[in-house]
Amino acid sequence: MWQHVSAESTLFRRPQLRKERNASEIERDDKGEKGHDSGISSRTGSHSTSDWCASPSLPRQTRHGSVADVEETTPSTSQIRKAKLIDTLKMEVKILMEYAAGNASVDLNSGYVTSLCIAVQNCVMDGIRKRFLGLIGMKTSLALLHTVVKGFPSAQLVIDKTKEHETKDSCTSSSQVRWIREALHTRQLSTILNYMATSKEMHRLYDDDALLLDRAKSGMPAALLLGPCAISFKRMASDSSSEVLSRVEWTDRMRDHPTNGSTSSSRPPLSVKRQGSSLVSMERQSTSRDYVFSLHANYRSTLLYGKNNVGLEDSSGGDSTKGYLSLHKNFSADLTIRWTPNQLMTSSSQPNSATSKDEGKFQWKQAITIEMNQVIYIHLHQKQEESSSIITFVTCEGGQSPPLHFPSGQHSLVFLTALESGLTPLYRLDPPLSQDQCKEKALPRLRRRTSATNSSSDYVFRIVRLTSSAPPPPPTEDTQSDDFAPSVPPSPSNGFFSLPSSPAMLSSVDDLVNTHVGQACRSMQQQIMARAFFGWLSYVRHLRTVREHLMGLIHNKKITPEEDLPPVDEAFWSECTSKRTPELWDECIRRVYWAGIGSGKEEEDKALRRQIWPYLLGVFEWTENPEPKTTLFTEKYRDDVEEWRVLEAEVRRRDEEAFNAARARKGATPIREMSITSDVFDEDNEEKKDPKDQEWEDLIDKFGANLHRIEKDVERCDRALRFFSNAQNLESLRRVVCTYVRRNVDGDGYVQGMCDIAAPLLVIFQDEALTLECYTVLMDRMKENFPHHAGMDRCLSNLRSLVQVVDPQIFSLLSTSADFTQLYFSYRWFLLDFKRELPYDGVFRVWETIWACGHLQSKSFPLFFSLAMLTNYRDTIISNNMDFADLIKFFNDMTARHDVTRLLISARLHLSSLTSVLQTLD
Amino acid sequence: MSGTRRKALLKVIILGDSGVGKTSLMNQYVNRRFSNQYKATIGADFLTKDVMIDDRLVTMQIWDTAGQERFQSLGVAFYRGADCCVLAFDVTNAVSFKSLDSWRDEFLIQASPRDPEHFPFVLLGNKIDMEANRAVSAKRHVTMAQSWCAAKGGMPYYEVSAKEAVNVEAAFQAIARDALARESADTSDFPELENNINLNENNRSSSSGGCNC
Repeated sequence: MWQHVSAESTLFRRPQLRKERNASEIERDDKGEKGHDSGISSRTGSHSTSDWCASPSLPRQTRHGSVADVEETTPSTSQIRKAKLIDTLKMEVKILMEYAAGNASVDLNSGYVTSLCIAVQNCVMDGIRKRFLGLIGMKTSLALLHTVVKGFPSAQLVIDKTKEHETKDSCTSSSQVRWIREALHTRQLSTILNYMATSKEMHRLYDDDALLLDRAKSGMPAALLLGPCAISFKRMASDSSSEVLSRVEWTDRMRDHPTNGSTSSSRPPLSVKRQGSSLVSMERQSTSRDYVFSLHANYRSTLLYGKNNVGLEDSSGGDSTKGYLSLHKNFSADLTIRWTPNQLMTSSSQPNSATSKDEGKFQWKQAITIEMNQVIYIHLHQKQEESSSIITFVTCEGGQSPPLHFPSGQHSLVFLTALESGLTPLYRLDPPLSQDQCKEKALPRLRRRTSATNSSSDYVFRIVRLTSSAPPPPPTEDTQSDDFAPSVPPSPSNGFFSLPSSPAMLSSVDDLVNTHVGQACRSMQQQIMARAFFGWLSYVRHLRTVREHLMGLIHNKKITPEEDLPPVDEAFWSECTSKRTPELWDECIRRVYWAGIGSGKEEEDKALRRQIWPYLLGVFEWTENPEPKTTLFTEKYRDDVEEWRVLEAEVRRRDEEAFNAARARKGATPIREMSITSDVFDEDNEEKKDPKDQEWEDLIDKFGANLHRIEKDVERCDRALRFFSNAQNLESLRRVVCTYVRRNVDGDGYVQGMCDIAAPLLVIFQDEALTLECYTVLMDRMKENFPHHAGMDRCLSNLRSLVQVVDPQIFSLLSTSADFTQLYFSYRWFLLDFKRELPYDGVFRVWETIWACGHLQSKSFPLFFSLAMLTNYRDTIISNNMDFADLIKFFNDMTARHDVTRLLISARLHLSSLTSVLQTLD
Repeated sequence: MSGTRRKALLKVIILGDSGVGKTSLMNQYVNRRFSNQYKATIGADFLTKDVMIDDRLVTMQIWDTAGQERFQSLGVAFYRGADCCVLAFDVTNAVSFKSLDSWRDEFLIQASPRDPEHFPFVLLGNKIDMEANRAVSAKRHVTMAQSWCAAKGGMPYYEVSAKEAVNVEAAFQAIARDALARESADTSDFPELENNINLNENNRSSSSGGCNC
């Protein structure tokens, strides 16, 4: 798997490198020496401890097709290294063979041969023992050859040849691969490598993980080189210039060696520096030849169309120069149009008949390359059907190519047909040349459809991308719309004509810059767009949640700005009681909401609350004097207590009766095992009662059950508090709750928790009648949250919606279950308005804020306080990824430890931000 | 035996009428403390305790819920995944004994265990320290409670006092043991689970230190 990828990346990288090499041929950068050295050292220095390849179960494989099978298993570093070596060799062999297929003979000093030699060299040097190299005293693979000769005499010829040519050449740096070159020339390279891979004599020179000792791969170099050994090589120009060329290629190639790794460092510098030197002009001949070769018979691109004597109009106007026009399709399906002057073609094929330098330069400037992916329009001007035609290309930036003059005849049509077929499947010409398969009919059809009425016809073809349904944008908007269509190739920063002085280099750099920067920009744009979109989407969803669920929570949508009000103190309250104006009421409520009641002195605050709370709860009207009502309350309360006292006495009497009866029966009746429950605990007497007594009996039963429940809870209600350590106060509480239940006997009766709500009121009022009145008002709202009512589900649902809007992270934690059970940690909060969560002074503070808020903005302040409870601990909750049980435990453990002031601030903030959202929704 | 290694957390639910001493029992067992200041439980709370059962470390998660039947609707959330249910009644309160049937039925409905017939229940009669308040004699009471337990598939019965820590430790130990035994019985009911566990055992024995992948 791994190695497939790496091999593929080599494949992809290779053409790029080839391009760069073309560039470096021209500008001769000789930093390569250094790269070469490091390449050698890193290669020989790499030792792998893996013995994976030595696995005996794997058969020795010499065909590279079987490499894939071996590579299925986990690759080690040495495996990757070897695979890279083989891949490089494969690539070089392929390139050379392709090149050789198109040429009668191959120059032994050409870059292709040198590249192959380097690859072979890298293979044979892989894993060689340092000791051996030191022993020989030569850091070249030539030493290896000397060893080979000992067991393989026919290699002597190669040594002789190598020595012969070595004496001729002053350039020693390439001597390392010279023997390989000579071995290739004498067609012995394959056999020599085969010997190296099989001979035991050679094996001792290598480390265990060497390529040539690899069971799977050792035979592959020899097998791969069978082909190149069949090529007929000839020494074209054994002068030093071609040698220099190959040296530079060689060093270039060394830096590209996979084990070196850094391909980017091999990119030639942008500037062309040494153009004036004689060295450069010497090289140009071979360079130009290579360039022309690469133009028209390229190993990495398919020639779709070629035509000689196509005229190119000079930019200065006037005469057109004849040249060779070709259309190429490269590996990534990009089309390239090249035009080269005829003179250059001849000079390149006959390097020795070179024209003068200046003329050559001029001709080089004329050669053009047009990348079709930058062309958006093709103009065809044709005077008559059979006359010569002119084709001009317009780039997406609006630039025009020099007009190409096609000879008379159908040449332009043939060219366009080739172009059209080359553009598929990604692009097409618009209008298309022909809609049926018959190519001959293309132009007449075309003429009928698009030509003008006069004899001279102008066609404009647009290049349309097929995959996008939208029509291509007009050229003027191209750079903009390009950004939003990732599939459109990036527009180049400079023109589409590559200057002949550095034809391949500029385009390669452009490609690199455009591809990488363009890709980066596009990916960033997409990410930004995606984020913006999802942000917007979630905002819209939240708004919907707000609209659907939270709209009704706030009755007053006027935003009250945070006020720095003092709390309600005695001075303010006495002003209120003396004037009782609506303005003072308003201020009083706002003061309670923002700052509370009292200044922190316990008893005084209680006294103030005692006076203010009934107004907040609506027991008294603002303009009302409390005295008359208080008296009424007290009288009514006394009467009610008297009334249920009778019931209580009756319940007590019956309890005692039943108890005694049970005890008595214990003695009288023998144990009857099978009907024990009914026997022991059945205290009902079987007597039938009068119907008019039935109502009374029901009342007694109902009240009795409630009385027992109340007593159980009152007994254990906040006994830690000093107020309730007093039995008389407990009795007060019991009376209040009993009276409440008696008054509402047809309601739910006593439900656990009711006593908790009454207790703080009694602590404040210390007056049973007033406590009961306030408690009744309070319970009108609170009883909705008790079981068998809808209030609790509404609270939990609203809390969930609020959390969803405010803190999606917590929400995702809470929404693991479809029902509200995940929110049950807040059950007690809503049931008792946080009475169990906070200490008493905190309860006072929160309760009066809730009541004041009901007058000001929202009846649902508990909801916002709950939200504050959640968000206040959000980091703890999220970092611990709390589940249902964790949340219950956490909040139970936090009981009475909350920072009430902070929670209130946070709750008020939540409320005002929801208010402002709702305001925008209106 | 292999099945007993499957789970180290036992979820135990204490149910019973309000005021029978569920919170006290839980606190006495976990914290060895008694207080008469426990408030009525609203919602639910739980305590955990690590115990050794036959050389095996087990974490008991004991859930205490509200006693009023009105709050039973919350049970579905709290009972989920319970391994054992402790039914508690007050030996001085006849009504609390009468309610046991309804508590048991309600639990089985809401927790919907895989095998309701054999789900482990334990009955605790609390407040035996308050002998004077008993309506019936201790001896007779035991007989009565035991026959109820027998009628419910042989549920174990313990008379305890949370206040004086009588029998509480022993009762909860038995509860844990019961739940664990039930656990292994469960796994033997599902052969494929057993296989998985055996595989794990094999892996454990074959690989010394670290996994093979």
